Amino acid sequence: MNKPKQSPQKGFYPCLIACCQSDCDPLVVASLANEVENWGEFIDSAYSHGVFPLVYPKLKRLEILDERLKARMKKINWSIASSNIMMTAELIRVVALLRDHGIRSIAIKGPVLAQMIHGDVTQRQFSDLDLLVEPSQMYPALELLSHHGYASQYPIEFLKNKTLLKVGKDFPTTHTTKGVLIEFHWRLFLDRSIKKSKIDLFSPLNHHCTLQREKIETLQLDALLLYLLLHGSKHYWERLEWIVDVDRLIRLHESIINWDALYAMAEEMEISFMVYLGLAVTHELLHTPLEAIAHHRIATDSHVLKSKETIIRELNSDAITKDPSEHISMENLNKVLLLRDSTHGWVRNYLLTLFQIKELDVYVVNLPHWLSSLYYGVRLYRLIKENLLK
Amino acid sequence: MNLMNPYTIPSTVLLQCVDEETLLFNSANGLFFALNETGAMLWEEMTHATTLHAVIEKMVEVYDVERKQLEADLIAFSQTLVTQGLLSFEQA
Repeated sequence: MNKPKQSPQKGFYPCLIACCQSDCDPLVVASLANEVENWGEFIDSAYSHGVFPLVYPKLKRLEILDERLKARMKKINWSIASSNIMMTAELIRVVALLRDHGIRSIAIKGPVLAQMIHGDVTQRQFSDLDLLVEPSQMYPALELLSHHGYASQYPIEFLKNKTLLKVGKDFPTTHTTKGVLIEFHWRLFLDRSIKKSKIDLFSPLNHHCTLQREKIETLQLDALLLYLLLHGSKHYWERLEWIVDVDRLIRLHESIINWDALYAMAEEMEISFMVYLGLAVTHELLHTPLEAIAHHRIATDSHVLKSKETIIRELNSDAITKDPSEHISMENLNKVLLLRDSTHGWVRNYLLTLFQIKELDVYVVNLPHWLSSLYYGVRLYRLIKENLLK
Repeated sequence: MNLMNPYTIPSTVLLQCVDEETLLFNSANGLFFALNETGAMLWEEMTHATTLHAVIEKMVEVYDVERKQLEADLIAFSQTLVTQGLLSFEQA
């Protein structure tokens, strides 16, 4: 007989949420902390949700925590902070190296987002760096880095493969001694996940963030917000970290976010529902200020309301994916596909998820472009191998 | 050490506060260096100047400190930073 899912400890979740509020009240946190029965689970959960650096400063002086727990929390905080500082230094180095060789790179999330929303690179958990470069610059960028300590799982010659550039979106590479992983993206969304991306990722109006005296390019604010809303939806908002990202970005830059442009982009991409759902979740949990259109939509759309309740309930039961790789589970994939604006959208998405050539199909063999139709055979072979021969 | 000798902070050096501690990180060697309150204050002034002489002039103007003592402390601090690769002086 299956054991029923363990319910959260009393006070566990409200205390975690209270620590993530932008206007966190120490008295409220202290009061809610009295309700936490298992601090080991609480700490693990804060870490899994990617909000440990926000939680730690609010708890480290509470008398209710014994010295052993405080020492453990200090150690975890230092581990996150030191890793973040090292990765920030590496981001600055790599962006400068690419720039010196005429390659434009745009930093996504990681230290830049931490600096933008918290004013401190150590206040947000991240485990890798994300850089966006033009597709034509992917091979030169990775070739350059291969001479500066980086090695990739797949030969970088694959980046000359037109099929890979068409069906994929990123290529990871790792520094052999520092262990820093960089995901190099040439796009942020796959064709199968959205109807058509309307976001100008390489806009001349892109935002710049100052990291340790260096100006680092990132996305325009409305494009960044749209990306964060999509990214959170893709993972069914199962981590508080993604909800905090959206909350802080809106709070800090509310007046300069072009909401009309954001809604128009979402409409054209058929992802309006995901956008409103993300805004509804952040508003419910963190009291994020919303403008009138979003307010009206999330208050009146029963589909948004119902999905929001499901997400909050799952967060409350701490049903979080512990896989740090952020791989989307099949269970979540089904939920996410239903977040599409139209039936046509999710049917299309199901079919494309199954039959469209994937990056991993291309990595099986590096075929010249004139033989690229053979990748459909590779796709079929892998589908049979992975699903029927198990 | 000549007080008029220009110094530079390598681009590999990052300043960061962690858990109420001020740290310098040198990505060239991967080492962290903790600064006490006085060290953090001196470093802050050093980032806005190019010679130790300029740092001293600024600090005696703002703080109630004895010039001789400040000179001695700043030189000792700078020597430690140089040893750690966190500061370099141009050759006279």
